[in-house]
Amino acid sequence: MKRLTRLKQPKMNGQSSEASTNSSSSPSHAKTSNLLIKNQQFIESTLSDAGDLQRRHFKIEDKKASLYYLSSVTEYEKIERMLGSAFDSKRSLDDMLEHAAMFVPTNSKNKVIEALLEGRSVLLIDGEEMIYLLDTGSIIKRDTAEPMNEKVVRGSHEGFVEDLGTNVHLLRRRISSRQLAIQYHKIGTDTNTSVCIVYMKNIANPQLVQEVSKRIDSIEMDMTFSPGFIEEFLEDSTFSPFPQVLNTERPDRTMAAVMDGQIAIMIEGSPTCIITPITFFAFYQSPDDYNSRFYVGTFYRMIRILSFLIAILLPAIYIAVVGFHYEVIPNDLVLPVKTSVEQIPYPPIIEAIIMELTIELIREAGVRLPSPIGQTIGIVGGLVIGDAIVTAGLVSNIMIIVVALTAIAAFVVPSTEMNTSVRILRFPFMFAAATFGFFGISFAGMLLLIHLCKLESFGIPYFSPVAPFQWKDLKDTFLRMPVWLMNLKPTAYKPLKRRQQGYSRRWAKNE
Amino acid sequence: MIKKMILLLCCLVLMSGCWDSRYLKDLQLIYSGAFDLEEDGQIRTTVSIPRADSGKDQQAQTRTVTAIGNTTRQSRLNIDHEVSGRLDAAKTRVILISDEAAKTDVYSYLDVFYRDPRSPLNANIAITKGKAEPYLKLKVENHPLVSEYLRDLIDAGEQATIFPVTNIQFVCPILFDPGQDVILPYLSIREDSEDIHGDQIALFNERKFSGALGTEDSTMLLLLMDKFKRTANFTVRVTDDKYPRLNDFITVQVVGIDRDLTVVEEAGGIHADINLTIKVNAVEYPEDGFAERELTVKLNEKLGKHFQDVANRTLRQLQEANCDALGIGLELMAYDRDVWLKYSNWKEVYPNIELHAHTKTEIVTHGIIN
Repeated sequence: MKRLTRLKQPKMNGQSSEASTNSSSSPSHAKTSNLLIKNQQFIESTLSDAGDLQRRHFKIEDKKASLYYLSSVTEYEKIERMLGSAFDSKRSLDDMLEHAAMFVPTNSKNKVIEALLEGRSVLLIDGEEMIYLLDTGSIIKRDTAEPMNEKVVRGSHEGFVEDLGTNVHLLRRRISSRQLAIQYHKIGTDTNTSVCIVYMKNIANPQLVQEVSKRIDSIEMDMTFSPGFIEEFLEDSTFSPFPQVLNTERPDRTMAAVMDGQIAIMIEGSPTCIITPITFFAFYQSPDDYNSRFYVGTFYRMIRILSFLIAILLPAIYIAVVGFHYEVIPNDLVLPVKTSVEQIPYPPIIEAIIMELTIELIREAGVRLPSPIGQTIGIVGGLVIGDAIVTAGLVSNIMIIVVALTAIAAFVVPSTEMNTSVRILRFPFMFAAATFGFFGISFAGMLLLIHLCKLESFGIPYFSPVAPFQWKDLKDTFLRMPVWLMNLKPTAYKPLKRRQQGYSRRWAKNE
Repeated sequence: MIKKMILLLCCLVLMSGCWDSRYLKDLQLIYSGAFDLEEDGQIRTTVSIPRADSGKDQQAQTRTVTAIGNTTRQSRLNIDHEVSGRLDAAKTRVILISDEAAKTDVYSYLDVFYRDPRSPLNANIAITKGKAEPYLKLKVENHPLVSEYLRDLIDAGEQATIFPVTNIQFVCPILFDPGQDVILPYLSIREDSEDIHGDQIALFNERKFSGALGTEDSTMLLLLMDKFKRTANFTVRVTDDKYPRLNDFITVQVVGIDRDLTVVEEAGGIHADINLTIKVNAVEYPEDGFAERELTVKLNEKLGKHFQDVANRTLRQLQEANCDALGIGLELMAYDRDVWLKYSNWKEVYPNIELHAHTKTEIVTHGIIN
């Protein structure tokens, strides 16, 4: 007990001191003074512990001036260039301050500090109440290279980067519409991470937009570092195994979602964009579907949905068949199957769990290791364990086939989140099958369906267009109809505007 | 509460399915069974259990076990005592019943299958000439599993319209139908060879075995029943002066039939007429000469006459065996209920009804040479 209080004590202190500093510095109505010395004191005292705070004092047209910046986030050449080009011109100081675009005036103390932290330099001039902000931030950018885990065969090979500005730029360039709305929010009382939500004003449902910004604004945290972090604050049901937002690093995918009336949430410092609300079937679509011929797109979409069933049900079905209902094995197959399981020393559920866990181990090890070693692990895991475990008589070779098929099927899903969900989901099914056979599988399947039908993402039914059933939306769910036939946007996201195109092939009739 | 939950979860994981699972690895699967009638009225059941040695070269082996009991179920339970692991009949493919046993009541032997939800409903049933046990103990070259061999034999017979397509499920309603009788494949081991011959049909009078039909007759019966499957072959002697002798014969393959059954009551008796048109493809006729129309006409006539003879013979045998395989009674029951009620003693009436076939034959093609 004592220990607890002792541990708690400094925390309490920290909180109170934080609260007091917040109250002293944060009110946005605190104004700057027209005395240079007061402004200097204010900056120096607020950032008293910032060792990288740099100050330069000089004179402009007989007025004392000071320039403050944080050297770690500022590019020195930029300051030099900006100030140099500004004061070389023949204009007077007042004229310049008034008209030059590079000087952004403010009289809010709060904004000054924020600007400094963001990498801008502030220019203080004696006798001026306004403080001028210069955009001199240094940005270390990575290439907008194609994201590793969302590769497509054809189509855009661009990907988001860690810099929010660049990401917004990528989106803006794709949708140059006056209707594109970009709302900035701040999350994290200490980190001040910028978050922006992007949507189409004339398509996205206003209630939805309001709900999303409400949920973002109500996040109370001192920091945030990844979309996965804020994802759980936004979701309707955190305890559902299914992801309710789509993570993507592809600008083209984000753009398509925004044009469907969905909302994209982007966070400074992360290349991942969150798309919400989302339906179950959106996880099984890939930009590749639209880049290939429609037969091909439809075929692969069907394969993906089949893979969902295989990944969830195959081990369960194997367990049920070998443990309960061997009658369903075709006559000519029953002897080979029987021979294969004859020498296995334990029930099928244990056999299945051993193999499934082995596969999960190999996968997890493969992800963490650098790629040359990862491959070795794959070979050791796949070939050596797979072959040796059968020869040793620990696991039947049919089980190896089942597990391998299941693992491959789980990886077919284009989204990593759904992929992991599906892999977890197969375990309850396996236990249900081991307990009640086919009856257990159908029971678990029913529970899963009930859950899927009940689930909502921002008030949008998750299992749409299957439940509630929307005949017209099936065109782009199980099938991928030719694009010119999909005249309407999906109803699931309740867009303001349903029509997305007219009849584009009028020429085909004239001939 | 949490402790209880954890305990429950552990139980679920560790003991899942313990009370009602039937692991495939612990079972002994019966692939085929044979029923014989002992002299003292007891039942002798023989089962064939395959066993595949695990290892790279899986050579399937069969173990045959026999036991005697008062009922079929008892004899099977007795077999269970001789076999390690639990015996299971769900994957049975063929059930053999000796003709001796079938003469008493074939249903008595099958009853055990209809009461078990896991019964192999698609298993074939066949009647054997003599004891059924030797059929399962037969060593067949290239066929390590005698059950598969029997199954393939019956399958081939079904495709060639020699055997009716039957299994445990199909047989049951006919066994209980007063207007129709069962026919089953009839297997025999001939004295001149050691192989099993599957070329006959066993006729049943209600539930009792009452006669058999030879190859040609069995095919004709199935054609008369409108049960033509994939092929049906006949070899017919059309002349008797050619040299070498095989030039006297023509082999035809049925390509299609057209059957019409009419049953009417006339002058106090039942008249059943079957009009059967058989379209055939001449698959072998060394004499040739199909280019001439006259030959075709002549052959049609000869074939027609032969088929008429076979059909007459078949129907006579059918009536002698008192086997209403054609379902004449069923026809009456369905379309002329008053008449059916009048002949409530149908089984006594049937052997004496006027049952006639009128066949017509047409050679429609004669292979790819002209």
